[in-house]
Amino acid sequence: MKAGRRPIVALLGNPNSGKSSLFNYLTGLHQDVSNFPGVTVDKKSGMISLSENETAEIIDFPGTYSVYPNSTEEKIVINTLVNPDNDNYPDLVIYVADATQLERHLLFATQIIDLGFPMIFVMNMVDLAEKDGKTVDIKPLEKYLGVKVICTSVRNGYQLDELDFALKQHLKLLKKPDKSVIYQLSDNETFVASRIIKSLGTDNLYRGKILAHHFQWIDFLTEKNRVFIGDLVTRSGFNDIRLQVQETMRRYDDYGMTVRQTISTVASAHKSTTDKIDEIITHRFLGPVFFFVIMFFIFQAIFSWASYPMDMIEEGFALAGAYLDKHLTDVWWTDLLVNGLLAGLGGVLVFVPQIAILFFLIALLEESGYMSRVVFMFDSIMQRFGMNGRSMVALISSGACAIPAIMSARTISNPKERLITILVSPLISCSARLPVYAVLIGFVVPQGTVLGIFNIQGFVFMGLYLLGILGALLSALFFKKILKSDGSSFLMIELPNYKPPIWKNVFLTVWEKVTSFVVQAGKVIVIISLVLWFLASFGPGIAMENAESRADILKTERQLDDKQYEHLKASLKIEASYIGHMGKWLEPAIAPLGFDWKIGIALITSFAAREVFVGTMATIYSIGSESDEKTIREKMAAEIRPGTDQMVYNTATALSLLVFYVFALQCMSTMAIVKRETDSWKWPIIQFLFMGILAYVSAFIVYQLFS
Amino acid sequence: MKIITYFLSQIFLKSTIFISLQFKFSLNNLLKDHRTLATLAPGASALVSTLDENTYTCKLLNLGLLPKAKVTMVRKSPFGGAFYIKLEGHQLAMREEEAATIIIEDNI
Repeated sequence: MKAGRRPIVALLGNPNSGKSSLFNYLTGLHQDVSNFPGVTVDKKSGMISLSENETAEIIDFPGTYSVYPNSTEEKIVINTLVNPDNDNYPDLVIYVADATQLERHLLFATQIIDLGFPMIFVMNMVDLAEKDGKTVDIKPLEKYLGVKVICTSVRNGYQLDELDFALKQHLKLLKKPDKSVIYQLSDNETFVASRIIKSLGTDNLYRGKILAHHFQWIDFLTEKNRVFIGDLVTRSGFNDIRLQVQETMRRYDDYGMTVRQTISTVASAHKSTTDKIDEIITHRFLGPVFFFVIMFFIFQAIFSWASYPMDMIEEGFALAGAYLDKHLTDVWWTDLLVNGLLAGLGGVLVFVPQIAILFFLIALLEESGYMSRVVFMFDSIMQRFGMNGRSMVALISSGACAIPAIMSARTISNPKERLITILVSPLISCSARLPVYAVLIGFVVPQGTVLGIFNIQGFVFMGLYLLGILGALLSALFFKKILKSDGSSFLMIELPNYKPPIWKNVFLTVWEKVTSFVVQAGKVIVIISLVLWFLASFGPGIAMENAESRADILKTERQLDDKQYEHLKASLKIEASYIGHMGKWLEPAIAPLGFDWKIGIALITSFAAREVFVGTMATIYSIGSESDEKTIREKMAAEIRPGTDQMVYNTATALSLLVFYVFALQCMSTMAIVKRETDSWKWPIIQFLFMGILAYVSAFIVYQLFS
Repeated sequence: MKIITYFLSQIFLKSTIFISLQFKFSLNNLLKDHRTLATLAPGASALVSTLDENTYTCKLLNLGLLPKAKVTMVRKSPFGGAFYIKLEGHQLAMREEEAATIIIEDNI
């Protein structure tokens, strides 16, 4: 253990081993999501207390198959395990394996033991193995690995207390495995590995072998180290792939007997539940049909279930605003508080129900194992668009928010497929576009139903989503043509057995996503609301005073009553304010799309986040009223082009504006994430321009067609 | 004269290379066991014999495609291009070209 540092416990294991459930058990809500140094792979960590004043940090590492990785996430794990100076280098490994898949899951464990880590081997899901009629005997395995083996079931809490106990004991001792080496290196491997560790001044021979395989991307090596290892590897005929395959096969051969002694297999002839479900769910025709039914259900859920809590939140904020307005003394900051801050907060929180429902349903699809079936079914279609079956997961999540979607693209190993997925994900209509659509559709589409049951406005909603999907697919084709391809592309994915979801996992996922949305997006929206309030309340020089005196003059000229006077004053002041000047400055550029300077203001503020549109409109259309969508809509509908009797929000303008919001990348958070994921500003800027041009041209065409 | 000889020799050289390449190719085809996982009919099972060495061979091994493992071709994906494969105790999806690197022994 490093001096002065609390011990680090790493949770390692293959994907689908129940590792994250165990992590949730050990840490509960005391989790912290940060990043591994230099990369954006989520690092989930939590603290556990050992005694009164001692704690240990537990890190949930990404699921890994072996020390020969295929994805960015797996590479992080290897980078950590081969570098004792790494901040996350573990002092103890809890290795989690699925008892029903012991043979495969044992491979990585033997490699970690060869790297010299103290380990507790957790054989999880023994309940499922025993249900299959298998008997488990841990003694042969304990003898073979030379580490403590514990059978558990996180699902029903079996023997988790024993794990707690073993964990505390091991952290006191930090005992190295009894058996030092499981895999004996061949002569050639020993030759290369020993020279590498000698040049680096370390001692583990197996670490030397891994460095010989991965010297090109292991992050702690210096350029000099790389040249040295590269040279050594070429000179000694160290065949990268052959030696990886050879080692893997020899490990399997070596422990095959132990696995059979540990778990007795009873061959079952009958079809498992998973087989029966998949006969329908991945069926040639029924599979895709089932998929679309699920998608339809998800959208219904977002629209219908979320509306009640959303209405409550909106009303709550309106009431709070009215209450504060009435009871606070009228000074400058009450206006800021009610119309700036409170309106902004309401704008954030109103999305929470929708986001929670969407993430809940997507987490259910992932937890149950359905998502990998989607990957299987749609891989070939996605390939036609230059993507991977795994892109489906990203595109579906984009319906909630492009940010987690873009992050989920990490599981795609091919750089071009991953980049295309990242670039087109924001074109899928996310939940932030919903309020904008909701307000604008009101202008274009009459209320009513078709065939008695289907809501017409609902159809238009669906049309806008389809437009987004179409845009995403066509853009993917475009990027497929122009981007260079490198690296191999593969599908190879496990289709895990269907399991009832562990509710704790689902709820923790939803909790984490919702809180991060509120904090991340909330910060942006609140800041924007404040800036907007300032820009709309003040103007250059004495412009604001002039506006007020002009309103006074007009009041007497036109014989206006008090209410009309207030309205007039507010709109004159907005026009004279800083934001009014900005909108006017933008007007010539957006006039061909049918937009006036007020929409221009909304466009400017929407570049921070789309959902600001409604709030901006609320602010502009006479500051002071609550941000209830209906009243904004009424005010907007009454808006007339100056000098004419034409309505501003006629069908053509509203449609044009809708199409603009479908395509434009108006989300700072997305750009920041794309920058982090692609590690340069090049791609977010290209994406921003590409989507901007797409939005402008489409809106132009739509306006010209309908006006 | 010199030019003609040059051209003739070039043609001879090129065609020899071409023919020998063709021969090598067909020889490879003859020697190579053509029965890969990709040729297995839906519903049929077989034993894995060997794997053609490839950048993703290790990944296939990690997923349980080991020599002597029993594999069953369950079905093709709805839009083609990928297979649903069953091993003992778990299931996988893979593309046709990935399955084509897995050489199989006799049907079961």
